Amino acid sequence: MTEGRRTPVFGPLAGLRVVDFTVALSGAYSTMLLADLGAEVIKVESLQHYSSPTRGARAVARDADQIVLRAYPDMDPGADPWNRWSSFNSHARNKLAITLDVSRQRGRDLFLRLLQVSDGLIENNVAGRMEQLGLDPGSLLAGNTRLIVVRMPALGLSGPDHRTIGFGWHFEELGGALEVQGYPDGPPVGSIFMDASSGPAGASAFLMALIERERTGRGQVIELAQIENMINHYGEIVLEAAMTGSVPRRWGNRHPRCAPQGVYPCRGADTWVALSVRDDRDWAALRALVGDPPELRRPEFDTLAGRVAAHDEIDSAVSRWTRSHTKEEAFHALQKAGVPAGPVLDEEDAFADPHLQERGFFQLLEHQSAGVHFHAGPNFNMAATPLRVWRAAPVLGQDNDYVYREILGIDDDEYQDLVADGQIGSAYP
Amino acid sequence: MSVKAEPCRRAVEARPLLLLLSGVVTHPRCARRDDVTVQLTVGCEGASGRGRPSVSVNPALQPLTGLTVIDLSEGIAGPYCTKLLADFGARVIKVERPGGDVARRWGPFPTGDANPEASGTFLHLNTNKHGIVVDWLRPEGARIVRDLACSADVLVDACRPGMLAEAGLGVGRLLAETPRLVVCSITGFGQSGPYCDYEMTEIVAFAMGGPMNASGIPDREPVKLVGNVVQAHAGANACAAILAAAYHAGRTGVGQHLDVAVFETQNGSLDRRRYYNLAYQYSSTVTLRQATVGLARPAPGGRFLAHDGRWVTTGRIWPDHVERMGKILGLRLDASILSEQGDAARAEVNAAIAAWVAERDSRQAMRDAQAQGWPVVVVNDPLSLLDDDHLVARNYWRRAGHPVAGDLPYCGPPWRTQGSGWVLRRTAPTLGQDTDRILREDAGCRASDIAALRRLGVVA
Repeated sequence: MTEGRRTPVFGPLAGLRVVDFTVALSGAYSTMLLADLGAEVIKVESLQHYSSPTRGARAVARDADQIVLRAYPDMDPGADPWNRWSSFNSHARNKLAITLDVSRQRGRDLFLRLLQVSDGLIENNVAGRMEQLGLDPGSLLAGNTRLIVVRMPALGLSGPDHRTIGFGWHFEELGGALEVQGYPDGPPVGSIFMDASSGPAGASAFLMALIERERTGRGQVIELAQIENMINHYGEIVLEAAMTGSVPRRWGNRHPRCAPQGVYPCRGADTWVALSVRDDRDWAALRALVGDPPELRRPEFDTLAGRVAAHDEIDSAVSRWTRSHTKEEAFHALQKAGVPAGPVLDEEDAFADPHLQERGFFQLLEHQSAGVHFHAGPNFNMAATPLRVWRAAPVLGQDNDYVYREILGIDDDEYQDLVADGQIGSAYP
Repeated sequence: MSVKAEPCRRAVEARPLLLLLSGVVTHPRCARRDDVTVQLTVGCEGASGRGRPSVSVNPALQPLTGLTVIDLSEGIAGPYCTKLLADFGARVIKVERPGGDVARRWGPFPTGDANPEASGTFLHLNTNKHGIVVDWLRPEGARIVRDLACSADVLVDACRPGMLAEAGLGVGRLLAETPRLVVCSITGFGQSGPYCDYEMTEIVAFAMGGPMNASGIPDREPVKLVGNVVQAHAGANACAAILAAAYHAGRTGVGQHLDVAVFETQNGSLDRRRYYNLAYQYSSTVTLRQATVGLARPAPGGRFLAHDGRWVTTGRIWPDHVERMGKILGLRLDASILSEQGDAARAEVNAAIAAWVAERDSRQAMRDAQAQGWPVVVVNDPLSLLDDDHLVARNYWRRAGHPVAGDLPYCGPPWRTQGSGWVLRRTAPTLGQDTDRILREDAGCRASDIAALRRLGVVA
């Protein structure tokens, strides 16, 4: 399957084609990784079914709150906010995009035709949705026995609560993460870590099946219950609960075996440096660096237990030193002394960071509607099969022409008919 | 002492890895000193005799059966990566230096006693691996690693850049000896750049990789995520990179060096930093700390106490769900409750949710709301998770015995493939548990050599 591809040839997955039928972030992160590895990833969206978790709000007032507008170029959602939303555009770069309404027979047939000439299908719809659409995986594989289908419903495809809906933060609560995440003396703090953890997992699941296909010649359907994958990322805390029969404590920034550890205020408003003392050697180095003040010279601090017991006191002394330095000064001084440390970087800091700059992590891309900006590059580097970020996110339906005409062999008449039918288009009706 | 600086001997050049295997198949391996190609049965854990194929104990092949991984990494990211490979069938040989993986010291421990064989972090991250102790910073130890690498498909390290080369295990040399080898270096900052010699821990990874600046509440310090999830995410990225490179090597015979930096996997993560970074590019604004995530606007919702004394959460209410929630609560609601002006309305809604939840047990509240399309879920903690109805019904927890830590429930498959897929065959290795067997079988060492190396403290 190497006929006239739009996607340039690069990376270890050059020549493979993956259909992206994902919504929101988790599955889209998986397909982003596959696209970065050189697969031709085709995102399939419907003009008739708007997905706000994927494309942002359909209409955004120009006087909306700044916290909404900041996700759009120059704070301007424009007439096509779905093409200009930073969330979508951050992970859809390197992908192609077409429109298709699989809820109607004609769209479904086209979708199946596309799968016949593809290697993979990644989807993270609510359990049951694919079957509702007449796209149960058994029938998908019947049309292409080499197809690898990765299904990523939040709670899996079976079990009493498998139809549960929610966003990342719901499933972090259901997954027990927030009871042990956040301030020990304050509220739990959310993230959307489940979406993040699902990304590499979905990509790895596809790649394992690809390796197996080399052996068997056959594809398969993989079930990735996102919550089960997420829990693996903190499995040691569940083991602790099982070992002790009690709920593990919320450690906040501290660590049971590394003390002191935390973030310390630096010179300037809301600037912090994080540091960890892993062992007695790190402790000696930290003590010397902060000027060996008398309050840190107590012999019991030469042991982990002593430092854990007096953590607050140690933090005060260390903070006196960090407050007199910028976070960058403290970072480099600590690291040069051998103590793991790092400044709390915001987005502005990240783009200015000399290390990321020297490694070329951010790359300049021009987007049809949003303009020219730096985007995060591939998550890792490969020496023999270098990865590329070759284009910005597609606007809605940007690759209809290529996919319908060149991959599916649709002629002009049929193409126009599909436009009239609302299958093919570049704007929501 | 008979360890010589002879070149690594390869029985098969550019073997089309992964393609050899179907059913019970023998796998040619290089031998070290006796010029004999050792035949081992793939998928059969040490049950084969040398030079003769044997019947596999478990005939069902896993996705990665036949993939051999030499794992020099320790801590979190590398071991999480190789755990994923091992759990899906790769033969992972974990090489610890004397004293062992640092995660053996991190706990959590079942008792106050910090027994390095009972550290929860180590036990979780090292399932299904073979454990050997080799001091590869010494020439005789490095020699063993080279011999292991020449019959492997993948080598994973988590070393400071340059450290492998100093030990005589430079990537150039390994690839010259075994061109199809995939070497994956998983480090805090990568193989180049001004910080490449710097040290990283979990809190540093989140501070620099982000978005710790946006994690927490505005008038307090930024706060990290649970456990070691940032480094585990880096390990999961490394797993994808390795699998893609192994696929490529299987087709072309060309291996390579992979450079995975936690600093970059976190900046590239969809735990917000990736799109926060692009949002900064778009509008020159940075993200501020907020107590919860998901909605930029004020919204009702949160945690509510159910009849059985447990909590449920609605999260912050998403615009699409306002009407459905209103119907369930018997209120006529529209998106205005999400606007800045809706403070009083939001308080009223929260009171109505609290009353509705309080009438039900937590799981029932979840199911009643979900049945109507309103996302409400039970709040678990790591202990209640072990009894969660749904996970238990799906046979997620897998109990297994360990000689020191005893019988414990381990996390089950992160994803489920067809066939045997993910299998918990063995718990984490005790220190040096498999040294003799692996040195004999995989490195071709004689018992007398192993004894000599042990006396010198090179192996244990």
